Amino acid sequence: MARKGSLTRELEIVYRLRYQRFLRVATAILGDESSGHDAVQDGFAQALREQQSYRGLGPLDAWVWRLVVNAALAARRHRVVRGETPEEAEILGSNGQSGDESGVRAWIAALPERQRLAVYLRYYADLDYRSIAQALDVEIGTVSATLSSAHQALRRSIEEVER
Amino acid sequence: MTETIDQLLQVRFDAVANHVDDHDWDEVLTRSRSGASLVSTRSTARRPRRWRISTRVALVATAVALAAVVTAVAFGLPRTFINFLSSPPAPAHVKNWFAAENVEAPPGMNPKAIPGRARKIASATFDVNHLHGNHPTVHTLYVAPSKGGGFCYLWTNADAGCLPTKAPSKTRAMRAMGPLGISWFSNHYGAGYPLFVDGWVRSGATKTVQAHFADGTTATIPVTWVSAPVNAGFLIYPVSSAHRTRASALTSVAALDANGNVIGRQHFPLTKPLDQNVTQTLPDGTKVSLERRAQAARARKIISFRTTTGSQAYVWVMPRTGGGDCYIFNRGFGCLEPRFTAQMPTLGGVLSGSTNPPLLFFVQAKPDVAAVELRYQNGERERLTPIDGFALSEITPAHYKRGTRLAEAVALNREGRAIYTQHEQPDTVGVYPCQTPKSLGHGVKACP
Repeated sequence: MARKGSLTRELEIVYRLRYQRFLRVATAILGDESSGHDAVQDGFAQALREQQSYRGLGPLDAWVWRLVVNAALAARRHRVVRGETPEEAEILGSNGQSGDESGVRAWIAALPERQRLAVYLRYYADLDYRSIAQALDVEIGTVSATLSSAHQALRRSIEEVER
Repeated sequence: MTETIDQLLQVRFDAVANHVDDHDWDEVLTRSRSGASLVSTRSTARRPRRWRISTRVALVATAVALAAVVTAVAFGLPRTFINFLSSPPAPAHVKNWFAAENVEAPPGMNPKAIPGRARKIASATFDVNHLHGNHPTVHTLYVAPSKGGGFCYLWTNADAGCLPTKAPSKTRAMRAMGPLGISWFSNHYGAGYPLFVDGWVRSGATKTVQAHFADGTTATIPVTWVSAPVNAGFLIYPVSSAHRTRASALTSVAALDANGNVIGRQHFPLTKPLDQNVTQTLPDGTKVSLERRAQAARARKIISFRTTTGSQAYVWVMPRTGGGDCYIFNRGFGCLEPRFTAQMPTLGGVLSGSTNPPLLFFVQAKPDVAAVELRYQNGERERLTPIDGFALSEITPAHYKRGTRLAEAVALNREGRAIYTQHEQPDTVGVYPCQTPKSLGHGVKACP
């Protein structure tokens, strides 16, 4: 019981310190801040409920990242199943951001899913490669290769616009 | 090259950073205990097809899905229970409205609503005016939790309010209100009794909310209860035509516990005919809305000057039937009973016109105030001489920028000695006009 209480406290600390980063990534996945907030809340709620399944093999952050990203992806799948998802680039570009900002979001929205998630975690959450690997449950080498592919695609997009 | 693109992306991603902080650990705990996937249930509620059904049906369907109790609908809101976390998110313009409430609140009164968490609770059809026949329209209730445990609500095109997060100092009347927070509407000319009430009741011991009438009758007011983190019920109650006379008027709303004991009551004292607002005519022919007690025909224009915008600034003062004075200036009016005048501070000044210049500083001062000195941040001073206890000055564009704004209003006695100082808050956002309002997020712009 003591460990459970201690983990709850640690989760609360991670939440309070990193909420903005979690929100940025979840919002990026879902396209609107309200849904992003829900995904963060659900991810942490699941972490509280299932803290027995955290075996302490990696950083607590990375485990929670996986839960939050999965909550966001699950929410998006629900929308897709129900035919509710407008094009992500469209949502992201229509929320009052400047053209430059919505352009960045649109380029990322056009990436394949794994590249997109890796980019979100790298730049929105500022995670290092090891943490991204743990959050996405892949090898570090895979993160490196995925981000490299994403960089190439994004560089092409940026160069096209700035040419 | 990878490093270059990495740095470039970092810069661009910083530009799309989210600046809204609406974290809420208590809500995480609530969700963890409920065990439900809120995102998926909310997605169901957001189905466009759902919202094509009539609102009443949608509300009932939501309630049934939540296995909540639904009882008969009297009118206005159904008596039901709404799971806040399963309710659909508010649209952007509503979130912006809550954000604007935070920004535009007077200093120290920011309700700290969390715009990003605003949700749509219910819709209902009612006539907020109830004046000339019945012209009901659809109104929607949105609620946003606020930091510290309170909430704010908005009935579109009707009313809005907040449960303050900090308990205000408790007056006797406020203690009597208990868990209730009720607004009431009369008509433009002051019918003297409520035509419509709305508001909230905090969850807890309250089981029933009742309307009490001057003729001794009562009626139950339906309440829509909203779950954590709001933990409150919302009510609207258009007063029926049978209770729109002084003899049968709504006189109070009471919160009752499970045993029928009154645990809070809000009274609506009948407005005396002389205190009702009526259209009156000033000596120069201007039509104004003033209390019947204000003797507009005897009004004197005591201050008049042209502002930097070319408009005319003015103050009229007139006697009040029963004692005291009434006044009207460009941006407001009021009447001062002798007993209230005695309770007033030595000096009371208010700035108005931030969004619609000229920016005016209106002052009410007690008789022992011989002069009012306006002291600006840049050291400049300006002296006003109250006339019949009133003064009015324009804060010119030369004092709009930070560092030049009004810092203090000092009351001076006949010997020139400072007897009272009103401290201004010159760095408060949204008080002074500017050329380019600054974005504060959620579409809210305000002058710094």
